[in-house]
Amino acid sequence: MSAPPRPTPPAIAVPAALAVALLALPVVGLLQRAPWSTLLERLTSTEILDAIRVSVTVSVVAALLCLALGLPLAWILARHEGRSIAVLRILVLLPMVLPPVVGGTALLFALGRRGLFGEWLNRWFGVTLPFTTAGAVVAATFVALPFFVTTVESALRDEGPALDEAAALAGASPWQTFVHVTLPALRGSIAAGVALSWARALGEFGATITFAGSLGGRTRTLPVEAFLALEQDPETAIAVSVLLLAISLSVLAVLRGRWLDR
Amino acid sequence: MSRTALTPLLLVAGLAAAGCGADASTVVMAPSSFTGLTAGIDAALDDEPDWIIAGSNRLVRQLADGARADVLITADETTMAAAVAEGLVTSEPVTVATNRLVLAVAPGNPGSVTSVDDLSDERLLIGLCSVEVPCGRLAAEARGRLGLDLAADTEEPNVRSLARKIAAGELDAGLIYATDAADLDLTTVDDEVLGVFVTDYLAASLNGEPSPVIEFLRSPQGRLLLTAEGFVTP
Amino acid sequence: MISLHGHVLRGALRLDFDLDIEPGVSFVVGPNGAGKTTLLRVLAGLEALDDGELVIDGETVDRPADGRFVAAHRRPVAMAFQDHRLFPHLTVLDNVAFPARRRGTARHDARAAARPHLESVGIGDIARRRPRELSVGQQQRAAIARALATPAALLLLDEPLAAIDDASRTLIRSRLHAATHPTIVWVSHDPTDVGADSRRISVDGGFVRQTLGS
Repeated sequence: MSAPPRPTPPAIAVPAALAVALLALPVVGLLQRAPWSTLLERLTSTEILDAIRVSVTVSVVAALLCLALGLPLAWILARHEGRSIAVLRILVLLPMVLPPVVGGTALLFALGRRGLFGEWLNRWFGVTLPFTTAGAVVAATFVALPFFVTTVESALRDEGPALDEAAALAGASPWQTFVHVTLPALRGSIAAGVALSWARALGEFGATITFAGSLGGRTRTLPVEAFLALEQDPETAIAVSVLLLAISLSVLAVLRGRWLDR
Repeated sequence: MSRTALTPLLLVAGLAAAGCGADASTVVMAPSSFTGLTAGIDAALDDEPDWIIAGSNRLVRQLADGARADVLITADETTMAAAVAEGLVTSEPVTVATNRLVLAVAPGNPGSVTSVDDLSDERLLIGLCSVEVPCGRLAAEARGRLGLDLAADTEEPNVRSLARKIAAGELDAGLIYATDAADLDLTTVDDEVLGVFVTDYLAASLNGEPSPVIEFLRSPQGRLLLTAEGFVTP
Repeated sequence: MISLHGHVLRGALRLDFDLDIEPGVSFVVGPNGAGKTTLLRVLAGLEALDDGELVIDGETVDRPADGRFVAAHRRPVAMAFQDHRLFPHLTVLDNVAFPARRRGTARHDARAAARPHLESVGIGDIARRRPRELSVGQQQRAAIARALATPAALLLLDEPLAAIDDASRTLIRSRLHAATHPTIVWVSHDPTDVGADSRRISVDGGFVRQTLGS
């Protein structure tokens, strides 16, 4: 017994329709140009399969890192106030506003062999990050982390310390509260955060190619593959784009159920 | 048959071409290696052209998609031949410059690279251009004919980014163009061995008339300018 | 025995405490906004004194002069909040079993021990439901049950019967009076809750003091 839907005012409907058009038309254009007859053949070439493997590995590891590092950070940001927290929040948003190539260049300055910190890493531990798969993970995590942190932090703020207080009065230590009350209550937004950061990591290009370079089987991800294919084989570039679209849509669809179930 | 725009460059080029159409000034499409030359060429001509600088493949694609230009310069024969084959170029292309493949090393040569054989050392960080771009094709040709084993750690999408990473010391060495090495003051080694691997820069007029730009490039002043950049002139 | 002396200053509200609470039930009465909930929060350890001292059963839990402050989870205090605050991801049964679980009791035993508490406030039949499926009255009962299931020397109740329907109020009221916690501090608007011989704590005009009878 539900009420009939209320009419949408034109002032809302028209801009919304334009927004949908802006989002949908490029996708439609892409699908219309796709080389459907040769799609499977192109996507199962050794080169593309390598790129799929690299992309999946890098994006999944990056998403997990976003979870491991981003959750504590989100908690600190949500449960504290003050100027240092405000500064910290700006720092977290930085990768979101930096052009990805600039981000990649900055990563080189910091973690490259001649970088501020990277030189030390190289000399004392023999660790080199640029031009390695680990480097691609670092670049992807760098750009994706803000997506996770902002999603979870706003959920934590909304929740507020009310449940934390109830848990304390029921005898739970701060750590027990975090594990048994905060985390479970955040399940939905953590899943959303992981999904968003994973999607961002999967599509990452500028920072990856600047910091980690491009080498088949090691750092050549699907977006890099598509970019390079544009040079001489645009049909393959479109095919890879369709693949990326399909992967992203299916994962987001699977997680959609979780988002609704908060 | 037009294609859907896939890169923002296309949009910019289209806008640039459209804008130029209104001013009726010359539009020259040139490869990235010509970046350092544009100022000198501008100074030498009465009519400063509008430059569209991009990878050779992309320039041809833009032409195919309907961008308007008066001159096309490509970084190798293959790309110009493709443009001719597609009917985009009707006049006879001429060679205006040649670029050599060089082995550039990072400042201070931390990897102690002295010859192309050192490029097989797994411990060094070596860079190449990816084979989709002219610089990469040239390196692949060198690898094939010299029977080299190249332990590459990255295949960069354009020679400029490769050269910059070598100059920054993030790579120990790499195969780039002589012009890029000159531009970034990079030391090169084993020049004689690699000197045979060259790529010809071809230029063609697209509007049916002789081009002042091409004439300048083939003139003594033009050749001086090209040589100063590190090109070899015909 | 709970001894609370000193003051807190929260913006415009200053509360001066002068309390020595004996075991048994004490009712907190006073006008709205006077600071009754603040009193509970100070006792619970959710707020700190600005000056003075709070001693619970011989242990000094709050003494700013010495920099001493025992956090809420370490105090022998249980609380039923006015806004219930049930854990949304747990069933009613697991909410009430929560205190025992955090003390290390195995799940099966904690749940078994929680059931009688649920029964005693009349929600034994909705043990498997989640908080979002409950009415406000049911949520309040669950919150009470959880507080009853938290072993402590001091039980704090913030308007525990506000959402309870008239028919059940007597039952739950007597259940609260029969709680095993040695000391109960109960904020209430309802004169019916307050027994004739109960002690009163008055929160009014910035002063928190005990008064007798009436």
